[in-house]
Amino acid sequence: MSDSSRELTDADFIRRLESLFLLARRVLGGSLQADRKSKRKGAGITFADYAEYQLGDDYRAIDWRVFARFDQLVIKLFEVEEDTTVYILADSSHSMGSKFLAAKKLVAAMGYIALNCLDRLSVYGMADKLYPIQNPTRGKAKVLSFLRTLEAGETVGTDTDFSACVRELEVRHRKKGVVLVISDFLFPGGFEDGLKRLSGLGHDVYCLQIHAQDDLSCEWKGDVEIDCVETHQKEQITVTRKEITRYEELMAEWNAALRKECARLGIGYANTTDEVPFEHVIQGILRRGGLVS
Amino acid sequence: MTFLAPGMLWALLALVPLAAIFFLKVRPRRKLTNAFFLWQKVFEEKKSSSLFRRLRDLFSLILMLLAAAAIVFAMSRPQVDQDDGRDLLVVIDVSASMSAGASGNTGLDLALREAEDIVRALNGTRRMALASLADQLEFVSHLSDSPRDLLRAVRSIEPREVPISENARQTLQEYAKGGEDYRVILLTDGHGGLSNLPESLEVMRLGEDLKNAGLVDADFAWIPGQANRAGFFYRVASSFPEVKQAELELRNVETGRIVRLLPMTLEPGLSEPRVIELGEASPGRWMASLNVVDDFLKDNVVEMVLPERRKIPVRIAASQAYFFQRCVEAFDFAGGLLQQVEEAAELLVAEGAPDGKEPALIFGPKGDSPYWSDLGDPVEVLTARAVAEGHPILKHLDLDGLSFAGARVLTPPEGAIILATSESGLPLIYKSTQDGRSAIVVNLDPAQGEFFLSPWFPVLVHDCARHLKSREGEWRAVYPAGTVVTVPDGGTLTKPSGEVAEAGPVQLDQCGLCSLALTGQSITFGVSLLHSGESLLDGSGPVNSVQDVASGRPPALWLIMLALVIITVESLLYHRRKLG
Repeated sequence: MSDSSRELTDADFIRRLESLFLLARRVLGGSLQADRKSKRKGAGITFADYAEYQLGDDYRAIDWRVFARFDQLVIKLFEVEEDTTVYILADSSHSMGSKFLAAKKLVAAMGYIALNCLDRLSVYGMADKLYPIQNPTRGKAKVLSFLRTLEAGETVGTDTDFSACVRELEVRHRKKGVVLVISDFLFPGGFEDGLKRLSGLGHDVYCLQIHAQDDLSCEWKGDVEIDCVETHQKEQITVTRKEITRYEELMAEWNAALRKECARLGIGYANTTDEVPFEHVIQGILRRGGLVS
Repeated sequence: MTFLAPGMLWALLALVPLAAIFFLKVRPRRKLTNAFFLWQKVFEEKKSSSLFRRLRDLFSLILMLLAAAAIVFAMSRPQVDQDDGRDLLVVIDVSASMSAGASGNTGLDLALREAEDIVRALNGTRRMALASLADQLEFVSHLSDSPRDLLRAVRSIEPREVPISENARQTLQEYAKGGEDYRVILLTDGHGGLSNLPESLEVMRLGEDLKNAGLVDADFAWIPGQANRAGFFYRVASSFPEVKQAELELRNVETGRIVRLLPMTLEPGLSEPRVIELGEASPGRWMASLNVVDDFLKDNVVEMVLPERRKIPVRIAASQAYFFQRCVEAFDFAGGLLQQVEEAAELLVAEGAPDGKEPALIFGPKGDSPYWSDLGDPVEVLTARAVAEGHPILKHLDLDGLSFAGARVLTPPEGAIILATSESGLPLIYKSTQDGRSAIVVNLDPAQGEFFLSPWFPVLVHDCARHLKSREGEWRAVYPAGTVVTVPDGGTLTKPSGEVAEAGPVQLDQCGLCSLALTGQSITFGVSLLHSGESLLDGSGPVNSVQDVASGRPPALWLIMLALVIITVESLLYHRRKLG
């Protein structure tokens, strides 16, 4: 493996990930899993509250001292200390070709933070279907294997079907968690259905849109044969200032629609380009307190 | 149509690879996109122009092939068979009438443009010579096949202010009859005495008939016997088809005063000559103008100089002075040339050996004199013979009618100019200059042979007096352009342009004022067109007889220009293809 293809397991890169993690701890305090308190009450060791005894409750939880003093049956509730599952859906379609490395760095950073916070981490490549990159795992010890696996990942598939991928995720994982979608969101079939389904499954969904500069603007002039990078559909066109303007308008409208849809569904959203260093992207997200819709 | 280089047509085969290269060239560049579905919306909006885009490529191919074919045809040097291809001698009439017409569209302008067109049609095998025609036929380019040299020669041709001379016309005829290897083409407006031209001369008439009127004859001179009275002689010609009203203005340029303003009616053609007499005329510059709106201004103005009326003071030293006095008085009365004086004389008329220092006319040599030696006895002279034919002194003299009775044997001094001798060679009339003093010796005894009663006596006195005072050529107030005058020995003539001519025959080829510098005096006179043939622009003259002659830019040039236009259009399409 050449040095250029070892960017994600490079010592320097890992140091940068560690720096990000430390920043995350400082910014988000103790809310980074393991010691993250769950909203659900259950069989933990930390007292949370009392509840009136109901038929079927575990009578071992009845607080007899309270019954002795107040003649009322109550049970003790304890906080459930549970881990969170982080699902990262990284767009691995061929349309990510030029920005795939940047996307992988973002995945690595988010995955590193999750593993260090003892969260469960599942990473999938997303194209015409889901391509597992990292099966569910947890613990700091898994970081290196995770990075190696991610590093070996390549663009796959023939098309990007976001809805199909979401459906597949739904089938694979019933457990709710944090879903982070890293993609350019240039899905010919649209993103609305997928986002709506993800949101409906009860996940905390975050979208991180990454673009290449070439996606946002067009530098072509004259006669060109436009070739779809995924389907290899071809069409000839003479590109003038008019066509360039129209394309850039359509691209802006598409991105605005994504942002609007995320806001509507309460989905966190951020965007960047492949030219922005990944640390800056993560730092920006952390300083805003996370992905904010 | 023929091709001078048909082998170049094989280059048409290059169209096949050119077409192949074209298809490679127009193949669009492949561009990968991540957002093809967005581009599809752009495609849908552009569907209406996609047909044009496809046709544009085909159109471009056709244009490129056309351009290439045009260049190939140009290289094969196509030639339209307009004439027999013989060499050409193109003669351009540059006489005064060729300057008539609107500026930029005069006869000469048209002729130069025609000549340039003929030059541009030269194909590399035909040669052409170029000449101008006015007072003489003058070659401005030798036989050449170089269009550049010939065009330069054409552009060097300038209009002249003289009419076509008979000598030039005859030279042209000789060239026209010269041979069958070349054609002689005369580019002319047809005016100026171009008649009786040979059939072998092809005449290309240029321009239209013009409406013009002008002064075609003029002179201004003192009236003999009338003090301070001068006469202006003039004649006008009109090529207006109808009767035209005009004014003749006579102005004293020295004072700026209009002396006469005569309304006149211009009849078509040449009018009768007329004379206007002016009292109290003063010597100096005068100008006659014909005030009429016409197509040729040059002949509307005549510049003249009325000479000073200066008499020659004559002293008479003769034993029979009566006849000499009567003779001088007669000239004093008639023309004011001679005037008898006792002192301050400028000319001496004497018998025998002369005294004094003024130039002398000496009759009957007697005694000792530096003007003769070895004076002997009288001899009989049977006949007199002119030695210097055409000399001003002999020009009006009939030697046969003159009796040289009393002529004596003598020997003229060295350097004397012998004008007439006897049958035995005895000098009868001669001129000699001794110590700066000139004298004409007439070897006869005026008292004998009824010399004083001879009509040649006053003639001899008159002509000798004028010659000794360098006034034998009384200069006119104005000369027609093209006139040849003789500048006397020691004199110089300065033309209006400043060009200086030395003694001898000089052609007056510029209109304006000429200045003649002679020993002890300066004479100014005018030169004006004054030529009816150049003023009567009535369409007369030789008819158009030119055969077909190749002219204009060669087809190869048009093909190259067509190719350039096509390439320019294709460049625009290419720019759109490549740069949008």
